[in-house]
Amino acid sequence: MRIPRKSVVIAIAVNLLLMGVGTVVARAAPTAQSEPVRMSFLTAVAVGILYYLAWSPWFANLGFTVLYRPLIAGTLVGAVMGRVAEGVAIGANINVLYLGWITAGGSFPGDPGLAGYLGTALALGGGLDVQAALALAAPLGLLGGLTYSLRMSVCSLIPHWADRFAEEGNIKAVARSNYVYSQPFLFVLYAVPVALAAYLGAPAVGAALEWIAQHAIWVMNGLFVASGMLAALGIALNLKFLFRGNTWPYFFVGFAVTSLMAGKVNLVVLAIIGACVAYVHVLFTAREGEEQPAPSAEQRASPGLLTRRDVFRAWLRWLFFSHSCYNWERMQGLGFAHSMTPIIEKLYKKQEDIRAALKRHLVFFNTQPDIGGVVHGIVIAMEEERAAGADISDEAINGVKTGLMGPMAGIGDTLQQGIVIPIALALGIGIATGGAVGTAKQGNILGPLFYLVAVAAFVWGVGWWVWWQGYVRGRAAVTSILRTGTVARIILGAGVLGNFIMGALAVQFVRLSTPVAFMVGGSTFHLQAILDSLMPNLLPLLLVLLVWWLVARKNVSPTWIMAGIILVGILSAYPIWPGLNEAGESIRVGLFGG
Amino acid sequence: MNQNWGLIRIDDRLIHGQVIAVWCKHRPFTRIVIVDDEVAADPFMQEVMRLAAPPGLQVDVLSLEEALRRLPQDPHPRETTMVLLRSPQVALRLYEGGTRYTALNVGGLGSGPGRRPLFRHIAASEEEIAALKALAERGVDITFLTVPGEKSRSFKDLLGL
Repeated sequence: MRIPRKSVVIAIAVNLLLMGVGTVVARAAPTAQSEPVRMSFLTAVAVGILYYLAWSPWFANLGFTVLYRPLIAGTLVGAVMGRVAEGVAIGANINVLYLGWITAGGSFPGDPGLAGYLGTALALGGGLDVQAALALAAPLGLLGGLTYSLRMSVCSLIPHWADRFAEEGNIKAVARSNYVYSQPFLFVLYAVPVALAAYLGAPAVGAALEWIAQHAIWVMNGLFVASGMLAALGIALNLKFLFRGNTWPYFFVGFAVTSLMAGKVNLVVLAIIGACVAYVHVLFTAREGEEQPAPSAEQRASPGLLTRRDVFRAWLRWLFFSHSCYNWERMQGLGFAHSMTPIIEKLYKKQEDIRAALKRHLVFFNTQPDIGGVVHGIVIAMEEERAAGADISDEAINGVKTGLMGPMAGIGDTLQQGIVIPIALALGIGIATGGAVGTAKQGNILGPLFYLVAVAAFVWGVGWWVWWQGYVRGRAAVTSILRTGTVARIILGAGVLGNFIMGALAVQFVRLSTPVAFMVGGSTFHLQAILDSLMPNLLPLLLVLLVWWLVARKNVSPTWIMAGIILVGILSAYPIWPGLNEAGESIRVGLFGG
Repeated sequence: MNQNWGLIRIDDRLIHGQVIAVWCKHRPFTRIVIVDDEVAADPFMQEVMRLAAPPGLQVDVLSLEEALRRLPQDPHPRETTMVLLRSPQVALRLYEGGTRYTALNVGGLGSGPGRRPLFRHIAASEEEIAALKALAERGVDITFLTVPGEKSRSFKDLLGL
């Protein structure tokens, strides 16, 4: 018990240190310049390495959940290129598009990390402003999916080596197969293309931009329009999961409240309002008798072969390396076996027992890493009882794994990817941009730091708690965690809060207005003023609802919508519509634009 | 004929993230029917499956025998029902037992010794492939797809039929 606590303290200290360093770096960084940063070869290599690190297992499960998100990616690339504040702003903007990004059970739609790392690098290196960066980085995210299949296929070879090591009873080699052998390949796969693209792409982007500025200035305007509209896609993808049941009206509540606060919006304040509303909703809709009595917190009688330290060491291995050799053939199978190595080492002394245990856990396994940890806890308990002489068959252990990994993944994905990450991101982006998404050139480092802390608290805190519950209570942990109804209430409340926040974001993040104006009989009519007198932010609201209808009701693929928005955004800026300049003279303007 | 089931899916993990976090948000399902002898015989697993489903979604667990008897005259609305099966053999038994369907989704079949990888992480044994072939011959449109929006492959293309 002594050692885990020490580890946690060290982890917290390291984090605080990182946060301090981050803040100092951000303060020391030069303020925004529109001059492009020269993309040196070393800088490009650093960007490539950062992208690999986001995929790597070296950050206690904060790689994929934190480093991989564009908000953080932009911050890190900004730091490497000496423009932290701009990097934060660009990353935050790119991330708006990926608010509703969810990957479940090995399916992988697009690559926010690529959009974040390469997009920010190209934007800073090519001298793009925030808007142009968003319109440029958005499609980059679609390319990343290409390497995913290759990675999953190549990593399928490694479990076969692990099978051989298991046959020899070589515990250390099985562990190594999981966290060492896949990494050189993944490093090359991720770092090299991104470094090359950043190095070669940045000057090209800069040159293209110069050409546009000289020959087709309206395209710049179009990129600005498109970037304001793209946020609608990120929000709509989230609404696809949220805008349903009896919580959808809260979307309009959030929209209305934010609209009324015109110009003085603070997302953190809004989140507090939203959380109170959610609490009240849950309080009034929870039906009497729906709640079942929480089962007694009785613990299983442990044979005492394992200490808390052993269980913690197993958890650490899972926390870091659950996905380090993720592959089509066995998914997290090798990761599971690796997490069991300290347990096997402690419980079994005979070669044949070690061999059997390693082989038992090298099979297909796939769950959500935080909540799914309850399965590992239970399996550790079963292994302990088996080693103490209890009659527990291979089938019984396998049955628990295959039976529980699915349902736990369902709950885990809903909680982590569906609730914790999007809400933390929305707040992080709000703080990072000071509420001025799309226009803020300087980001606030507190935004990404807030996101880091919120997600780390969930991934580490809830992750270890669930794992430990599985170990001390066995199978009963699952039903007792679920049966109290707490999880159901959290999901319901998060639905309310999520809708509320998305309504607020429709005002804050989506920019769409029209400069169309005309003279009739001596008086001027500005179309936007007429729309505003009807209702402020009408166009952003209609756009979000239109995109939601396309993704949720018509099943149009987000890729097509993204392409459509960029095209419509750019074309709509072409000046063929009637407008008025400041002197009141009639000119041609785009349909949308600033 | 009763061909308008919302979704008939083969998935050896039954209820999990893809089913709950993606499929159930993608289409308005109100009910999941699990046809599986193992779960039907295990009250603990039944409770886990029920608790794992989002609120408002009814989960019924049937053994194959019960399913053969009850599904052809199932009184619930079919369009909003998802049927989850663990293997192609069960799908074939159901079809031959009178639960007719025109489309079958293969969403997850893990690999293992003696199992041939077919598409991404979907693998199948010879018996399973034979059962899928038998269904394809009866005109069932079989698609390998984990979740909507992902890449999919039809079974016919895969085998070059």
